[in-house]
Amino acid sequence: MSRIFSFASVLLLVLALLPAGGAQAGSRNTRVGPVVLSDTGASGVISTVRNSSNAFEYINCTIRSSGSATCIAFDAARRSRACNSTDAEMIRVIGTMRSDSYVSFTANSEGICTAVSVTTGSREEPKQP
Amino acid sequence: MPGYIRIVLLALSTVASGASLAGARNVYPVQVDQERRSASGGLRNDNPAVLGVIRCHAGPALEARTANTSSGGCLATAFPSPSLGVVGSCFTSNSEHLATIRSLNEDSYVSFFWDTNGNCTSVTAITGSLIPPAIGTTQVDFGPVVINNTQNWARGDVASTRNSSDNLQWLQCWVRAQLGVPTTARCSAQMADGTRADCDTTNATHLRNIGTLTAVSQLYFAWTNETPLVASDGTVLGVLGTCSAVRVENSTLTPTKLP
Repeated sequence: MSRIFSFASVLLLVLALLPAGGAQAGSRNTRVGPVVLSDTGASGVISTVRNSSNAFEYINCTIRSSGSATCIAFDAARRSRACNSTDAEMIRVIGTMRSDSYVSFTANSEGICTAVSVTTGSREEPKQP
Repeated sequence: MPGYIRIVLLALSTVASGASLAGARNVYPVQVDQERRSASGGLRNDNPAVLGVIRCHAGPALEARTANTSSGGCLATAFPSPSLGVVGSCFTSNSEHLATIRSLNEDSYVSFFWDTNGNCTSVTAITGSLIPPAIGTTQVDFGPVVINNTQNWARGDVASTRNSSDNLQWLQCWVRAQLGVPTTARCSAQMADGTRADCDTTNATHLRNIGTLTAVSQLYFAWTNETPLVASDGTVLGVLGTCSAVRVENSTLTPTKLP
């Protein structure tokens, strides 16, 4: 249950930060970070992570035709979080990721994904080459 | 050989003779053949007035606001001459057609056929290196966020919203899967004047449509059972309803996101 609350608190924190976006044009998600780790998971905006000045951090998810998926994230301090799933709903949600989506995942002690969320919208910056 | 396969092969053979700068590439103007009841073209181009417009949506017609409408369709407008626009369109509730429409990416090539009643008979999507990227146009369809609190709907282009001149409006959907809990999603919109509307859903069709949202999509959602959307500090942010319709359209007529 505490992991559920942990996931919810990460999501709520991000959602609370989002409306206070930048000042240039359209509300912009400039406060969410590159990769942010929690005790049980990680989150980040795919495009923001790619566009960051740090060459080490990344966040990736893989879907396999065998019916499994893996999400993995490294932050700037080279700490990582990962989770695996064979849950059809989890895999379907992971499959909605876009190049500028905000992704959040949590795992249990066995590395099984307990929750995955994907947000796509106007506030996230586009991926740069 | 089915007609749609011939169309695809023709497109690919055209590509093979494409530009020589780097990688095989080509532009795919929208083409409509009303006699054969077929249309095809690249989803994105930077000059819709010449290269044509093609759009496909998953979700109900804009005026429909019912939860169980699992439908979609495509519409293409070609310009064989500067003054002549030729239109072809089809509608479908076929699950395979809808799955193909939902698979469209920002840089897909689309072809579709229809019968004499205007029903889609096939929908084909190609995604790959041959297709131009999600280049943008200055022409827009929905534009930034519009919320109608009388009829309970909101709509907007994702990229137009981001590129707007104010810093208040935004548009998004999130979807969350959690072990032991039904998958849920929320779509949110806020206009330039701060008016906000959200809707929640666990409806399978809504979830599939939300999953197709891209940076160049147009989003429309409608809701019922409206209650105040209250922040943790008690501030009323807007309204929160139950989604009654979610429609996502991928179209030529949207810009690309600015950084």
